[in-house]
Amino acid sequence: MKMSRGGYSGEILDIDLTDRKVKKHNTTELIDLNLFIGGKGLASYILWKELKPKINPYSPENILVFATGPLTGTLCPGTRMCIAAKSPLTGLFCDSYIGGHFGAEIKFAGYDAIIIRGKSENLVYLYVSDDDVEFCDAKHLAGLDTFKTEDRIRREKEDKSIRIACIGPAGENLVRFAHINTERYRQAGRGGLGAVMGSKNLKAVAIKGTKPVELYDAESFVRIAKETIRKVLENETVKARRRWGTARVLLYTNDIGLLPTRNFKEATFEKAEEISAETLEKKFWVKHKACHSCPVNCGKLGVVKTGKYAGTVVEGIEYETLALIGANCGIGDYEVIAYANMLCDALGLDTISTGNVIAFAMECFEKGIIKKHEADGLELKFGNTETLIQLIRKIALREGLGDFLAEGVKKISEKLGKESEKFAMHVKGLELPGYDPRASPGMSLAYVTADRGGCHTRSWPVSYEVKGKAPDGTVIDRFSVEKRAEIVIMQQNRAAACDTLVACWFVRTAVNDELYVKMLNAATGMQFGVEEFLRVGERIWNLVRMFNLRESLQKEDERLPERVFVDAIPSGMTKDQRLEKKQLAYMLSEYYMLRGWNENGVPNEEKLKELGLEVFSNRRQ
Amino acid sequence: MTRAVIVDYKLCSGCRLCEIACSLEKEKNISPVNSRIKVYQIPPGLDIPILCVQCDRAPCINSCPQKAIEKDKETNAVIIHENECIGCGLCVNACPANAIFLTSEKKAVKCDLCGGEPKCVEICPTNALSYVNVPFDTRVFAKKPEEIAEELCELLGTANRGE
Repeated sequence: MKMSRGGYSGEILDIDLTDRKVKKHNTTELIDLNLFIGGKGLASYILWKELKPKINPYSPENILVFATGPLTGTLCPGTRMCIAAKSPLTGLFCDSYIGGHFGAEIKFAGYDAIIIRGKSENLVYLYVSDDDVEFCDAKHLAGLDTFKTEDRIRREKEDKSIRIACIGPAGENLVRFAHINTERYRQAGRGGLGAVMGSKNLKAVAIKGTKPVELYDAESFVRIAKETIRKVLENETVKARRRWGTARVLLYTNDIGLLPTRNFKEATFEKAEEISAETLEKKFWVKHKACHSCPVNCGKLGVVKTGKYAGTVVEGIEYETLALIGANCGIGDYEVIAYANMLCDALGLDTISTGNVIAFAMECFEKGIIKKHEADGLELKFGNTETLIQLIRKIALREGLGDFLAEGVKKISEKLGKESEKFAMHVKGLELPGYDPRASPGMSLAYVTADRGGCHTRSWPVSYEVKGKAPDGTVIDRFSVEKRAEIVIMQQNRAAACDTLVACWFVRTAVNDELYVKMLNAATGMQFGVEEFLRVGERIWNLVRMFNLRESLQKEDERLPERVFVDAIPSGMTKDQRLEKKQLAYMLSEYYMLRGWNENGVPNEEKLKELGLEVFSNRRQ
Repeated sequence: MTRAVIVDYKLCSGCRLCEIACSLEKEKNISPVNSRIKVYQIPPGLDIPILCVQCDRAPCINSCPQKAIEKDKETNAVIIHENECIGCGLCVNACPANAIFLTSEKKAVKCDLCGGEPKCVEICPTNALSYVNVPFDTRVFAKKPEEIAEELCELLGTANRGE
């Protein structure tokens, strides 16, 4: 029985790969939508409720959730899909977001989410066509890259409009930072969710939907959504993003001494101009690209026109890839970065983690921790383009040194020892994105407290610090610790709330909470106010905290690598900056207090009660 | 003179807002599968919107055994009279652009320019779509997505077409 509420499709598809059983649940029977809305809320609730604690992320018991939100597949500008599971990189809850058109297609097929359990005996792919679910043999797709996998499945099913989420060789080979790819250039990149798919012997999920998305009050919804689109297009930040994508951030982070360079040794890169948005616009980009129903088109399709890699086509290069594959590996040639980017997309690797892992290996080589005879004959030097390309292949195929590096920075450094953990740039196992924590106390706190480990998409307090003003107007010093806990909590709660819809990070800057709530209410008939909407975010944040504590997260894990405290930034605008341990301790204890958590970071009973999570408190450890 | 929706394929970002706007106008819901304009995603990253170009010498008109297709006198749009359509699909095959399709109720449908105010053009955020007067037979614009992709690849310098 389907419910008649708009925005939602009303059903959740539940697939067990072990015994090839397919179930369909009424969404409202599985979850209280008023408490969790959808997207991240839906995925975290299902994982909390159904995932057996402390399992190996690669065991058949791990659960993979593809969750849409009530605004996915509507006219709301910029909506995406949430994919979640227990991460093989962190051992914690991991939610990663993916643009493109896959999320919308889930809605058109008539579902709010797809839950995938168990493990198939042989490599398979799933083909979901409205009500039908087919388990298709994928032997012939084994080892294929994501581009070819997508092309083959579309050809096999004789339908160009099928949407496909698939893994490359990296996912099949259980590389701990393997991504899930759609439409060639869009990935749920972080946390190794592609390896979870690989561990289930699931090569791809292909989907085709022909059903409409219903709206509770279509007239109001369309009016508000069009007004929102207009607002988005008038926004100055969006205007820059439409033209230059995320790449525009690079010269900014370089100028303000925030750009990770050579494994976070430095925070400015001498070749930043050569890999900047301005260079890419002049020499590389040929066309804008957008996700479903998004007017921002921050994606850019580029073609390498000269040199060794001429003919390479890739969407990007996104800021994070420029920062981590580029500056952080000492690579200042955009043609090489474009090729490396394309390789990562095709082979199935997260560019942020890959850039970190390679930069870390380079520094270990420099320090003699990885010896020449252990390096497969490669010169592991910063800036060596051949090494970069070879290592990407080796990691994805788990060949030679690549097999060792495929474990991620945390595990590599634990195995290497010799104090390499001091410059192993991760938090809780997730490699850091493109913002040097030494140059931003707020970012340090954001990394340490992010629910999935070292992550920039839960809170990004940088702009407040650089402007020198907190959201409430208080003047703050860029390198002080005041107000950081407050800012980070506010941003995290909002991010979690928006991730229920699932609203894109880049559109959120131009759309206020009132508009999102208006669209949510008009689409679904729900009656949210802004405060209640943000409370959903706080509720989810606490639920994920409980999940991670159940998985044995300790207060001691909420730390940064030693480099952040010891090695001051050598040059640039943030020269001599480093973080003091007592600064982090101060911010963290203030953060726990403001969150309503005890001194060990465990939510208090009162906080859980206030959020309607008291039913979960008896399951707490 | 024929007024038609003309596409600048380089500018299409593939957001498919046009499909949503079209289905909202024609079906009163969000169902891109029923949209009269369809954006095809073709490797290695091209987005090709296909909709009727309102040919002067329209092959679909001649193909219809029911004489259910004609040019609208006011807008010059090629119109299918739904009541007379028997769902034989001959017009679908006759169209040089793949711009006509059968609905699940076996009725042929296509773009009718929304009576002269095409909603896809109105919502397009990249100006890839424009509604213009064309002083020659618009049939020259009628091409299948693969043909357009071929030309666009050449224009953008993307020789690598995938499989």
